[in-house]
Formats: sequence, C-alpha cells, structure tokens
Amino acid sequence: MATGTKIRALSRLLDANEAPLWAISPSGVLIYLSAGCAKWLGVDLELLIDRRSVAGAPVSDDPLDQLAASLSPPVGLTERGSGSLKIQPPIVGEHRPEAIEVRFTRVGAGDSCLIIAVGGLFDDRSVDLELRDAVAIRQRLDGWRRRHAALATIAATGQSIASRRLRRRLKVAAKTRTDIGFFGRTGCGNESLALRVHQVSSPGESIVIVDGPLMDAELLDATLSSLVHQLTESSDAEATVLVRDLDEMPAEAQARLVALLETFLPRLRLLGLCGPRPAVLLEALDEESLSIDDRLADRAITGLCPDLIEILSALTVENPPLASRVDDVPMMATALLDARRAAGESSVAERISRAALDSLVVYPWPGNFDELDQAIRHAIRRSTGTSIGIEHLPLAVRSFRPGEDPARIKSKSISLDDAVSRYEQQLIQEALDAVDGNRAEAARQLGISRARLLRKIDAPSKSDHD
Amino acid sequence: MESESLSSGGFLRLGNQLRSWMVCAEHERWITAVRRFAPEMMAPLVPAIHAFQPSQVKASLKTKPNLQAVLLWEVRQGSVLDACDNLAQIRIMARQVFCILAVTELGEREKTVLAELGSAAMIRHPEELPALAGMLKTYFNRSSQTKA
Repeated sequence: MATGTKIRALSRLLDANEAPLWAISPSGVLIYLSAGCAKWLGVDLELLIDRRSVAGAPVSDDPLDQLAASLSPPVGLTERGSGSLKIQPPIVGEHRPEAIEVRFTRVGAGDSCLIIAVGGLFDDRSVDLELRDAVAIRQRLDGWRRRHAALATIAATGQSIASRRLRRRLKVAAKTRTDIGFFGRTGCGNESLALRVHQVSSPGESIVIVDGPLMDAELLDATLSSLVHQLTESSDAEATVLVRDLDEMPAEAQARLVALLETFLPRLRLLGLCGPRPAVLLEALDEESLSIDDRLADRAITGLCPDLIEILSALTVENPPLASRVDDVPMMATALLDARRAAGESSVAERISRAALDSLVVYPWPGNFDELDQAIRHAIRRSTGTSIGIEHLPLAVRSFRPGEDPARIKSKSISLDDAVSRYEQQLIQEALDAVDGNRAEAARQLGISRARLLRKIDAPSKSDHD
Repeated sequence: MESESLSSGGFLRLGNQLRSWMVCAEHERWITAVRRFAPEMMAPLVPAIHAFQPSQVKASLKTKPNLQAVLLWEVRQGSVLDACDNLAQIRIMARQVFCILAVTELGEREKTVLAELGSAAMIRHPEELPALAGMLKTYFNRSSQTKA
C-alpha cells in the first residue's frame, strides 16, 4: 500500500492554528482533534478520541459522549460529499463553548471514507446579487405567465360547440411550434390564448409583443432588436413575436416582418392576432396609388398582405364572439369570480346571484371576454355581501333591455341644456385628468377663472346664463 | 367679472386637445426631453406634462382606468424588478396607456424580459423620442375613434 508524506509539519501547523479541526473515521468515531478544539470545547481532547460522532445515533448520558455527538456531520454527508452546520456544543463543567460555523468534507468514498471538519468564519453563502435579481425577475415573469394561463383557461371554458371547437384547436396549437393566426373580435381574449399557447409549445423561449398598428419598418426593427440579436448570436436560439392587430399593421411594416421571418426561418415564429375577417392587401400601396379622397381623409388601408396570409395559414384559431357563446357566460363569469377570489381580490363575494347571471346572459357583450372580465371586477368591488346581485353589475349590463341597441339607450331624449352641460362636464373632466386634478391649472388650461370652474363642477345642471 | 382668455370656441377646442403625459424618471434628462419634443410630436394635441413617482402613477391610473395618456418610465439597472412589477400592474389596470420605457442602462436580457410584459416602445436616449411621433399620432387617432 502506498503511503503519504509525514504529517508532523501539518500537525504542528494545525496545533498552531486557533481554528478547530477534527476528523471522524469511517466507523463514525473521532480520531483526531486539533489544538483549536481544546480552546473551543474546554476539555481534554484525548478524552474524546474513539467516542461516537454520528448524527442521529443513540447517545448515553455521559457529557463527553454528548459532546462528541455534537461534533457529528449533517445527515447525508457521505452521499453529498460536503456540508455545513452551525454547531453549538453542550456545556461541559463550567465552560460554555460558543456556536461556530463548520464545514464538513468527505474524503474518499464508500465504507472507507473519513470526514474532516473545519470550524471558523466563512463568507461563502452570500448570494450573488445578479443571480438573486435574475431569480426574482424570473419569478415575476412566471407570475405574469400564470395570470395569462388562468385567463386563457377561462376564455376557452364552456360547454358550447364553439368553446369545444376552440379548445380542440388550442390543443393542437399548443403541441406544435409553428406560426399561428388568431382571429377574433377586440376583447375576445386572443392575446391570453396566444401567450398560453406559446408557454406550452415553447417553454423558456423569448417572446416580444408588438402593437401592429403603431409600427413602421424602422420601429419594428427597433422593437425586435433584442430578438434579432439573440437569433444572430446563436444558431440554436429560437424566438417568437406576437403582433396585436396584425391586420392593421402598415403594409411596409408587414413587409419588413415577412423579411425577418424569412431570414430567421424557422427559428423566428409569428403569433398574429387579427380581426375576425381581415381584408387582403393585394398590392403594396404607396402614396401615389392612394386616391385623393383617401389621402385627404388620411384613411389607413388595412388588411393582411398575401405573404403573411400564407405564413399564418400554417395554423389558424378562430375565437367566436361572446354573444355566440351565451350558454358559456354563466360558467365563465363564475370562473372569473373564483379566479379573483383565489388571487385575493375578493374577500366577500362568493357567488353570483341567479338574477345577476340572467343579466349577464342577456347582455350582448360588444366588448367580449374583456368586457365580461371588467364587469366581474366591477361587481366584486361594489358587492358588500357574499352574493353578487344585479345592482353590483356595471350600468351598461344591468340596464340593457333586449331589442334595443345599447348605444341608443344612452341617447334617449335629452334636452339641449342637458346635452351642453354634459359636454362641458366631459371637457372639464378631461382637463382635470390631464393635470392630475389640479383645479387651478385646469381652469387656466380651459381659459376660465377657478371660481367659475368650481361652480360648474359643483352645480353642473345649472346654466351660467340663469 | 370673469375674464376668459379664449372665446367659447377656443374653450371647447383646447379642452378637447389636452392629453396627459406622465414622466417617471430619476434623471432630469427625460422630463427635459419630453418638454422639448412632446409638443411637436403631439401637435395639434397639447401635452400636459407632469413628473410622477411610481406610486403616484399607479394611484392616478387606478382612479382613471380609461385614461388615454402617455407614460415614459425610466428603468435603471437596479430597478428592473420594480419595473417588472409596475409594468405588469399597469398593463392590467390601464392597458390602453401608451407606455414608453427608457432603458439606457439595460442589457439585452433585461430588455427581453420587459418586452414580454409589454410596452409600446423602448428607447435608450432622448434623441430617439421624436421618432415615436408617428406611433403617438396613430395611438391618439385610434383612441378618438374608439371614443366615437
């Protein structure tokens, strides 16, 4: 058997060092304690040799056995290889040892391993700040994603044929990483559905959300610069761009988007949110091809270019309007209430009354799922008991009468004075909103005195000419 | 005797043209840039520019959930976490607000995270503000169409 070098020099150095160091044999007994242990423990160290030092092993009432046991390593050290503990040895006689940090290391493996323990001050547990921030940011993102997952589940819930078809389509979409077109009216929840599909089909992949109508080619490049950077830096990187109102994106921005998709095919994926029946842009339009009327009206020519139609034809998801899923409304409303209760937003309301559900079912929901979500939030804030009643619903919902156009209800007969007064109030409110409620500033902006503004706010039904 | 600096027509026109622009930034360069560029960017609309603390922004939006406004938010290296929280809350309570993030100090990784939470635009320096004029015009045009 090979032998190591003499340890006399090591032994001298250890004895000269104040740090406690000890060794435990493969059989679990103390076989060495440095001079630092004597000062720390306040006992004759020879009395501790061959005493058992194994975590969880039975210990006699002998104070020295108990002292030896307190020097044992953490459970599982022989498997892990290293570990740390804060050790507070028991009091022996009148000496009170202080608690110290100890690092344990396994030397060797299996039945022949021995354990070395070193006590002292260590600074190896401080968390790298950048890592801590990265973890926290990831937690925020996960929370955001969970919110959209919950909304997506509720938006697709129900027993109607339309909802069952929608769920089938989403199931297929979630199983594959491909370009997808989501078609539906404003407020139908397509953004949450698209984000959920992205999370399931491409977990961990970067996604950038773009407002289609606000883009031009240059802005699109700037907005997607971080994705392009990732895709350029690594040939394995993949990324997704989600474009809201893709069919209202200017033609030149659509062309730029197509170029980017082709450049990074198939690593860059498109999730496009469109209206229910987008027009087709048959040719690239420029200033000269616009009619004089169009130019004068500054009218936006919207639709999808043929290249994007081809890209989105890989997979399409049609989300029908809420009005065509009437039988799903009670279930969705209840699910929204339950979700808000689970998020701690409702401490009181537990259910929706039948009368309120009837109102929700009858209302045509021009704003679709988003409007229903807002209505439930509104009702939760207003309710004081365990049940949400009709009186807690938004005015537009509870006052709707079938057979009447919702817009016409708001414009029943009103006198001219009332109409002027309402318009004045609207302007005053806009001015106050713009200056964060500062009435003096609002009065200056409106070109009237502060006193006059206050009179108008306090008595809106009176005319100045009375 | 009350004096009016505008005719009744002017009174109605100006009141209808005011749009709130909130600036939430530690560096004065951003509010200075907004004061310099916003009037030209938003013409004929008139910006009402104010500096806000983050808590004031959320409190303001909570009381006016349908407010059509521009929010410029400076995100610094040590405040990415707070920005994630604030941006997510704003996206929930007032998603219609036009949100511009000033990200001078951030790397690509942080910008990617913020991009997923959603903002209209990210800029690094004040001189990039005028380039957003077209976006702003479209935003307010769409807002007025929605109102109509």
